[in-house]
Amino acid sequence: MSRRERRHSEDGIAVDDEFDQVQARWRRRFVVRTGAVVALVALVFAAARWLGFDLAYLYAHRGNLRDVLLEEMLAPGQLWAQLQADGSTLASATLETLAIAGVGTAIGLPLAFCLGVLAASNVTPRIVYTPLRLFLGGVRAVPSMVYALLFVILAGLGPVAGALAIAMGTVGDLGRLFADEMEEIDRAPVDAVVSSGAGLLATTSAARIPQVSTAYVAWTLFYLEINARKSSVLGIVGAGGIGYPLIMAFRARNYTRVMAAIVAILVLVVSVEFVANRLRSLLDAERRAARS
Amino acid sequence: MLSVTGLEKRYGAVDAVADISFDLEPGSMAVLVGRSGSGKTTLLRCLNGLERPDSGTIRLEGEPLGRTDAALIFQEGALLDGKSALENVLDGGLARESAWRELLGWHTAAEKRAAIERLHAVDLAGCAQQRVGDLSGGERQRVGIARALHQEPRVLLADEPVASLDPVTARAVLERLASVVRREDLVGLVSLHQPRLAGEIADRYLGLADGRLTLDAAAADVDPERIGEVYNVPA
Repeated sequence: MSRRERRHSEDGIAVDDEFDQVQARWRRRFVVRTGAVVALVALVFAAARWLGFDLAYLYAHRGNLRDVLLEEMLAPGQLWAQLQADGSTLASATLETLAIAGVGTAIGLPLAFCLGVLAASNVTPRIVYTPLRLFLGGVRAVPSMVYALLFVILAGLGPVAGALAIAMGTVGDLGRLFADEMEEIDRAPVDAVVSSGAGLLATTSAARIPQVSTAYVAWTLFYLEINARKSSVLGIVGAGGIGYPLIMAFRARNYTRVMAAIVAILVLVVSVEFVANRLRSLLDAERRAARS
Repeated sequence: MLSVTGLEKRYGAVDAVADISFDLEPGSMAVLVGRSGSGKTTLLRCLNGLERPDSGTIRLEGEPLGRTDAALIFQEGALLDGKSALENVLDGGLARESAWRELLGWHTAAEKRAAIERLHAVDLAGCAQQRVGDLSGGERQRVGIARALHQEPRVLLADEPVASLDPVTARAVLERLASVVRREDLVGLVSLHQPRLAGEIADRYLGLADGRLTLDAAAADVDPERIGEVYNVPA
């Protein structure tokens, strides 16, 4: 019998006493949680009010949006004509968007992998992982649009700036996800390899990476989907892709053309998601086959 | 009485268990023995309702065994480390509580009191609010027993519940399990790999080999040689 177990039996606390303690603690917990929820809701309402949210105003002007939606954006005949007219422009802009997402992810992935593994607290010492975590946090804090504006200075207007912006976002976000995933691995297989005398690099490749490889692939495919979405708006700041015809159509108040660009974005995003899902299914099937 | 007749479960072309029939009396503890892969876990999961048998019947007092009639204690406890002992035990009564109560964690006072009584019944007085992750192996396994009891089952099943415990703690856990089964007049069935510990609590032995029942006898009629035959090794 452990010391703690002996203590319990010696304490001999009665059911009624323990029940009273539990009730008191759960009541306190209820009050704290309810207070937190109320405070949070109040904060959201206050922030919305500060932003100028006015439901009455929105309701009064609902006709504006309805007219644009029904008469210009979702009018089937007009939309079909616009898609036919802009078909080749939209197709090349969509392909460019896909290329921005693909190249950006490909540039960011190896950096995210290296930094993510090194930023895991169960891989490197504090002196390494703390600054790397801070660095990844800093990279992540800057929105892709801002990176795009910065890289336009470096690479000029066009898709190269967009791909570099996507790469930066990939490093920040995927690096953090990789580090978090690495910190969740089972320690026992790592200890087994360390006990054989293997060094950090060998241990990481033999015992750590195999535990996270599937998750890393899944996160990468998921991030490719996110990057396809992000790439589709970078053109707004001159970084290439379908965002450029989109913003030009908005500026011209040609909402049918806006809708045609949105349709192209939808086709792109759904296609990338479909391919990513198929790849994930193939990986799952391979893993199941390897296990059986 | 728990009556199992002609129970079969196949995974693809493999018969995990086949042609299993036995009766177990309430208030008695039966020990299930057999080599790894002999079908013990499959049999327990079929009795618990986690697996649907391909054929056969499972009846309790002549009626089909209900979904909440049989509680299963798992090998490593299968507890949620981040929750308190009390919250884990309360999980055993989820079938009685409405979904919104569980969602919000608003258990009734009666449920909480009953769960604390379960913890006291397994010698865990004063542990209700401790995180399960902070408890010892023996304490964790007893939280698992308390959770199973909170289900208010009529059949208590345990799948190698002391496999990861030291002999002294294992004996204490099994003694507690057996005393609960006898005191609350439950049908008890526990799979074990430790013949000596099994001998201390068993009223009856069931033995499985390659998914088939090769031993079904009162403990008084079973000697080590007979158990050795189930494992296909000399005693």
